This record gives sequence, C-alpha cells and structure tokens, in this order.
Amino acid sequence: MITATNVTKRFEDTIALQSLNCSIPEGCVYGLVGSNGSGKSTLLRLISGVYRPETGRITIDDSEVFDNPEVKKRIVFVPDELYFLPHASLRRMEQLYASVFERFSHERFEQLLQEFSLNPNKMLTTFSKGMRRQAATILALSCNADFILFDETFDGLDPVMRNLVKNLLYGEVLERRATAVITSHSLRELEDTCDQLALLHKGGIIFESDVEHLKTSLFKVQIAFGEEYDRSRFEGIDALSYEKQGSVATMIVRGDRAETEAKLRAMGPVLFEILPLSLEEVFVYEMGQRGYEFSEVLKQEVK
Amino acid sequence: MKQLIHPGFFREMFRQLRAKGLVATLLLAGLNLIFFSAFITRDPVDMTISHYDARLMALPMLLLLYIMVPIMVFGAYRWLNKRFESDFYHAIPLTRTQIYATTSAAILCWLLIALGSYAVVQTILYTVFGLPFNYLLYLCVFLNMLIAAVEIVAAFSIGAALTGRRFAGFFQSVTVLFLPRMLLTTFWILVEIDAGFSVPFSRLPFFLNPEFNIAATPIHSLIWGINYANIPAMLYSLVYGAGLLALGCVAFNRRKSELAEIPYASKVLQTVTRVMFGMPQLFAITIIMHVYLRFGEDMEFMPMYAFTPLCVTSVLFSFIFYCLYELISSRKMKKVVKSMPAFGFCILLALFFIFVPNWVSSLHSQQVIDAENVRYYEISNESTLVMPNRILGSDTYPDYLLKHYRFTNEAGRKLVANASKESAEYDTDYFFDGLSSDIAIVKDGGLFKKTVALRDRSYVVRAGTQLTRACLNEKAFSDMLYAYPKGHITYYANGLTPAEAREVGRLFRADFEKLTNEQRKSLIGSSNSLFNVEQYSGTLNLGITLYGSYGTENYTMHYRINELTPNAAKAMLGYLNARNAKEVQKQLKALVEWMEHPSEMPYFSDFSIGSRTLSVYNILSDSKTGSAATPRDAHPQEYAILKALSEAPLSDDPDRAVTFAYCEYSFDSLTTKYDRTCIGFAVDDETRALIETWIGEKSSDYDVISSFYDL
Repeated sequence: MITATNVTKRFEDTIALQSLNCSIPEGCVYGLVGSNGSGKSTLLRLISGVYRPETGRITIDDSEVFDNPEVKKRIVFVPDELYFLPHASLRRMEQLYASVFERFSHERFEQLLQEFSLNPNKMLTTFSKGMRRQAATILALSCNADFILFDETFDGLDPVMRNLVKNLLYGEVLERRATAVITSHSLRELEDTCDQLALLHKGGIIFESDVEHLKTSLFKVQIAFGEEYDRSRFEGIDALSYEKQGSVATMIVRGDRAETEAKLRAMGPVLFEILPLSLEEVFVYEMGQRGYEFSEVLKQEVK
Repeated sequence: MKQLIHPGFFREMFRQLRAKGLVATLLLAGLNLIFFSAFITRDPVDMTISHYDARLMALPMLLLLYIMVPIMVFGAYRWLNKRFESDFYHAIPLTRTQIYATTSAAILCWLLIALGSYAVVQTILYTVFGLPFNYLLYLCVFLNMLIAAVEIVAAFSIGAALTGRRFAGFFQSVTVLFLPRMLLTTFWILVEIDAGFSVPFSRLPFFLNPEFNIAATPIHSLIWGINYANIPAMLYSLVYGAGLLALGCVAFNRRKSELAEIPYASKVLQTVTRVMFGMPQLFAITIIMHVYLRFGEDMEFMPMYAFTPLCVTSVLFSFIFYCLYELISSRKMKKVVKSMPAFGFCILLALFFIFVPNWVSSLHSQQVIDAENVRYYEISNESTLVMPNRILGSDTYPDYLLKHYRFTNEAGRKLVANASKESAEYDTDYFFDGLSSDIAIVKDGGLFKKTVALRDRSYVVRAGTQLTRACLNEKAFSDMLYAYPKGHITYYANGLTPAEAREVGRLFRADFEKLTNEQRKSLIGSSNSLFNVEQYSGTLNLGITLYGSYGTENYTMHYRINELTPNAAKAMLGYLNARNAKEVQKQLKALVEWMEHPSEMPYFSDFSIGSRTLSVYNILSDSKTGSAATPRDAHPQEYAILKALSEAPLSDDPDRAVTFAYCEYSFDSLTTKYDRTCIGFAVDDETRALIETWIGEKSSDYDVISSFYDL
C-alpha cells in the first residue's frame, strides 16, 4: 500500500502539495484527477521517489521511497513528458531497464513489442508522440513492477491504443495484483478505467472515493404529483439539489437507491423515474456539497 | 549498499560518453605526436638533438583536461539540467550515491583511456626513436595527470550537483577548483611584493606550493616546471581530489531533483562565485595600495591621485562583472538588484589583500638568523622569472646534485645568515632593480624553516659566487660533483651513430675514472659558475653528452673529450675520420684553391679549427673591401693553416690531432646543405704553433663574464 502522510512539497515560493494524506491500496487502478497545477504530477514524482517531500512521509508498505532502491525497484513511473536515452532504440532502453529492474521480463517485452507492433531497433527519436508513449508503456509493463505510475497516460494515444493500454493495465492489476496510479485532467478518461478516484485541488485531495460507490450513491430522480407540492414534501430524502419545472421535480439524491425509491413511491407520485448520473455529474454535485465550484476545480474539463 | 558502481548503469554512462571520450583520446594521442615532432627535430647546424621530455606534455595535457573534463561531466550530468530527464534518472532504482559514483567512474574510465593513449604513444615514440626513456618520471607525469583528472572531475561534479543550469554550474565548478588556490597564490605574491623577495613556487611550503593540488596549479608554475615526482604532493592532490569527489557526492545526495533549470541551489556559493567574478578586477587597486604602503615615501614622483581613474575603472569593472554573472546565471534583473549588497564582500576581500599580506611580510622579513643557528642550507638555481632548464630536460648534473644536497659548511652558513640580515634591512631600490635567483633555505634546529632570497643584483652575483665556492669546497659535495654521473645513461655525440656514441661513452668513462678531481673539472669546462656547463659540439671541440636518468629525474651533462681521455678521443677521431675524411679533404682543397684563385663562391661556408670558427663569407668580404687581391692575401694566417691542413695526413692521436670541421650552406635559404663534418689531422709543430696563435687571438665573451663573476 502506498501511503502519503501529511506530505508537503514546495517549489521555491509555490506550494505544490500541502499536508496531503492518501492511501492507495494494492491491486487497484487509482485515478488522480485535477486541473493543471493541482499537484498530480508532483504527487506521482513523490511516490516514485523522484522528489523528496519537505514534510511528511511517502511510504510503500511502511518503507520510505526516496533514495531507497529496494522500494523503487517495485515502482515504475511513466511521466507526462517522456524521456529516452540519447540516440537510443527500444533495445538499448531494454538493456538499461533490465539492468536496474530486477523483475524485468524480456519475454514480456518481446510479447508487448508484438502487440504494439514497434520496431525495437529503430531510434526512438524517429517515433511519433503516440509511438513513444507506446514504447514507454512497453518498457514500464515489462518491469513487472508492483506499482505502475502513469502521468497523463493516454496522452497522444489513438482510441485503439488507449483500449489496448487499458486492457493491459487491467491485466496487470487482475493477474499480478499490481497497483496502477494514473493521472489525468480529464475525468471522462478515468471514468471507465479506475477503481478509485481522487480529486486534487490546490495541493490537496479534496475528494477520494471508490468509483462504483460514487456512481451508485448519487442518482437523479424525476418525480411529479397530481397536487401542488414543494421541497418540504421530501423531508427525510437526502437531496443534494432540487429543481421544479411545472409539476415535475428533479432531484439529485444521495443514499441507498432501493430504500429511497421505496420511500418516494410510497408518496404516490404520478411520475417517478430514477436516472443514472455520469461520473462528472456526481463530481459536480459532490464538489458543490463541499463548497467547491466544479468548473473551477476541473477547468480543463469544462472547457 | 550492495554495489557502489552499478554495472548496467556504468555501461550506459560509458556508452553515452563514448563520443567525447574518443575525442579526448584522439586529441591526447595527436597532441603527443605534434609535440614529439616539434621537439625531436635534429638540428643539423648546431649538431644537437632536442631532448624530448615526458614533462613537456604535462601542460598541454592539463589544458586538454580543463577543456574535456567539463564537457564530459556536463555531458554525463546534462539530465540534471532538464526536468523531464531529471525525472527519468531519479526514478531509476539506484541510490543517488550509486548514480554519482557510477557516473564519476564512467567519466574517469574514459579519462584513463585518454591518458592511456598518451602512455601508449609515448612508449611507441621513445622505443621507435631510441630515446632515453625515464620510465619512473614518465609514470609520475601520468599519475599526476590522472590525479588532476580526478580533481577536475570532482570540482565539476560539485558544480553540476549544485546548479540546474550549465552556465552557473560551470562557473561554480571553476570557483571550487581554482578559488582557494587563486587566493593563496595572490596572497603569497603580495607577501613577496611587500617583503621584497621572490621565491620559486616549488620551494614554498605545503599549501603555497603549486605542486600540492596539481589541477589548480597556476599555469605559470607549469610552464616554469614543477616536480612531478613529489610523492607527498601527489598524495595530497589525490586526497584533495577524493575529498572533492566525496563533497560532490554529498552535494549530489542533497540536491533536490526539482533544481533542474534553476540556476543554483546554494545562495552562499552563488555569492562566492559572484565575488570571484568581481574580485580580480580589484587587484589593480590592491597592488597599487601595496606599492604605496611599502614604498610610499619613494613614490613622490607619482602621487596617489594619479591612479584615481584606474581605481575607479577597477571598481566599475568589478561591479559590472559581478552583476553580469548574476544576470547570465539567473536571467532575472530582480535577482541582480537583490544581489548588489553582497558586492561589499569584494571590497572587504580587496581590503584583506591590501593589509594582511603586508603584515605577514613584515613579520617574515624581520626574522634574522645567526650563522650558528643555521643547521644547513640548500641552494636553488630556480628563478621565478626564468624558465628553468629542467623543463626542457636539460638540468645539468650539478643542478641535479644541488637539488638534493644540504650544505653545512661554515662559510656558506655565514653567507646565508648575512642574506637574512639584508632581507630584514630592506633595500627599497630592490623592487625596481629586478629579482634574485639564488635561494637559500635554512633550517634552524629542525624547528624553523626560512626561505632567504639573496636579493639585490650585485649581491646575488657576489654572494652567489661566494656561495658557489663554499659549496665546491664542501668535500662531500665536490666528491659527488666530480664523480661520474649515476643512473641510467644514454650517450650522444655529434657525428656518431648511437652505437659509436655508446662505445665512445664506455671508453670515456674508463678514462674518466682514472682522473683526479681537478682534471675532471677541466673536462666539465667552466666551473666559475656551478650552474653553467657548456656543451661541446663535435665541430669545435670533441665532446660527449650524457642523457641521464636517476629515479624520476633526468639530467644532461656535457664532457670535453681530449688528451685526458685518450681512448675515447682516439675512438671518436677514428670514427669521424673514417666517415668524413674524404669529403672534408675535398672541401679543404677546394677552399685553399678558392683562396688562391677566387671565383664565384657557390656556398656560404664555415670552417672550424679546434675551438675557433670562421666564415668563408667573411673572408670574401674582407678581401673585397680591403686592398688585398685575393682572400689568401687578406687572410694569410688562415691560408697558411688551411694549406698545411690540406697537405697533412689524417690522425686519430689525441695528443697531436687538430680537429677541422667544414660546413656548407646553400645560397638561397641559408639552410645547411651538408652536416658539419669533423676530422683530425696530424700537423707538424710549426703548423700547430700557427694554429694555437690563431685560436688564441679569439677574444671570448665568456672570459668577460668569468672575470665579472670573480668579483
């Protein structure tokens, strides 16, 4: 398990992370979402041991990560801006990775090369942005690391490759119980990929939850009655928002779906419908509840 | 830690440095060849062979290291200056110490290969050309350069670790490498100016001695020559280099990964670097103030205010350099403004250098030693102004002996004590008169060491001669001086093949061993000055040169070959006559013929008889300008000698033979057409008397110098 305890990281006068706490369990796909500058990449660099926190601790199974090769061997980090050795081919990168990552698998490497159809002897400088991302993914997955950190994972990949990478990630998590931590400023990107999601804003995690729970704990209800009514009629229902147009009221309700449905049906509505929410809608309402304007938290998303 | 140097990462770093390493290797090998071809040329006119020395390569090698090492270090650590590259390397599961140690090892490995190319090329060249090869000295130069490489790598690694941009990194490295040495050297130079003496750097104690910390040795010390076989200095440099490497490791470990693209991590070091940039421009003021502090009363002809424009310009330039560094490294005007108060450190440092050396020098020069407290003294013929012979591999054997001998004779000790008194009673004129070259180092009871410079030109000449006599009168030393040189010796004699020279050398040694010290002294030639040993050219006098090496040191010694060494002389004349007689006799007859019936002279020519040389061109000129009809009439004495020689039989009898040498130059370029040739003739008593008269007419510049030294 990756644990961040009270972590603060500063860059000169800028505070990138402020007293951040989080736990990332093993065997899951953990998504970090946030706008640019929210601290996603900084958190990944701290987890991968690139940065040393000013205060607090980053541990993996209770061992400090920074400057600890034994722990770092279990982590592979694919940053947003990719770097390959000068004038290197994938084959040369393979040599370096194999020498420093004890669990590097040449068989896996060859297998992934086949899947991505990349030439390992070609200079990486001649690769397109997407191909470079694929190359980095091949190298990362060949390491058989326990923790795979992807910063802006799907940047530059076409839809087919995105699916391939996602499937490979699932395979890593399911078959080896690896943990994947992936960041994105796009919630949609992570929606169908992650088991857990955390929303970073101004250097802190303002919201963290299981995706399945998120999706089921909030739902939209459309309801109408034969007589005039107002919001007071729904006492006992945890409605995050309430809107009424004509005789039809629309509410975002938090709680157990079956229990809420039973309560509302008992009121004798003439129209009753429960609609699913997109993850983005869930976030909008959750953020609203916490006093944040979602459009501010995820500026990129709104644009 | 399992592995300090990680094999896989080492392989990668070594590979990344391949291009730079190969360039360094080729440059070093190429430089060797260039230097070798420049110094090994045989000069047919002077009949000498330039003695190529391993030490000649030290300065170019060090200069190359100054260029190549920063390129290699900043090449290897370039990822430290780019954020995403920095992320990649820092994410690798290696400790920072491992990354640092492995990278340093890869750089040093390439430098070892590059320096190895020097070793290989030198070995081949020495072997192919059959030159005297002092393996130990050669190894010492190699080790010195290797140690220097460690120091430079370490200094630049510190710079790379402390900064996130190359410019700042480069100059902070230069600060680490040179600043301490620069301050020490400047301090000592100012002490010397104040005290009014000049001591060769190699005679300075420990930290002041440039041999300690070879990589930061001032360039002028390298040119003047340092002792590459100074084992304590080598060990010190190695420990210093290792210390810097360790410091680099600490800096690398403490470095924040996010420093990439940020000019500096340490504000303190940034300030030190800026001050280093600004300080040298203030030295002008420092030196002016020194002169005024020391010679103020004698400087009425040039009042202080005359230097005001220079002082203002110095401060201005200092300030500009100071700010410029900050601006280029930080790229922010705001930081330049913020850094301005620290310019005060430049001023403080300048003040320190004005007053403190003056105080130290006054303490130093006031120390007077009594002769009875002088336990021994040493003599150095090194000058701070003149390049010593030894850098060109021509230390004479007496020089070599002097370097390793401690004199205890009473006369010398008194002279040294007097010199220390004169140092205390300072002569202000000295500063403008020039600097001394004779140095005595005194040890008083083993507790006190004082360097006494025999200053004032006339005093140096007088005391120098007296000291020389005192030294020569010390029996243990004169026994060593007149003994046959020790060590491995290679012989050289003009006009002889190496095998013939070796044979003549063998015979010479046998003859030499039978002689008394006085006789041996006459073979060395001029011993009025202990340090001047004249070279005997095969044309003027028969002689042999010994290229010796003992331990790590080389020396050269010239000996005359004459009737005192009959077997060597006979053998040498035999070789020369056999090789040259036919050609020389032909030329001699042609010369006689030309003097009788002058025609168009095809060549400028010289001839030498015994120790006197005359140009045929001068004979021609004299005959044209004077009233004489022919050269024979203009130079009857020379004609008579040449005529007698042209009819004389050859001889290899050292008691009777007269050596004659002839040399021709082409008209167009004055380059030698033929090598000088020398043969011996048997002449009758009348001709011999004529020749002796002719040779005796020559007035020798050397005689004048001798009488001057005999004051």
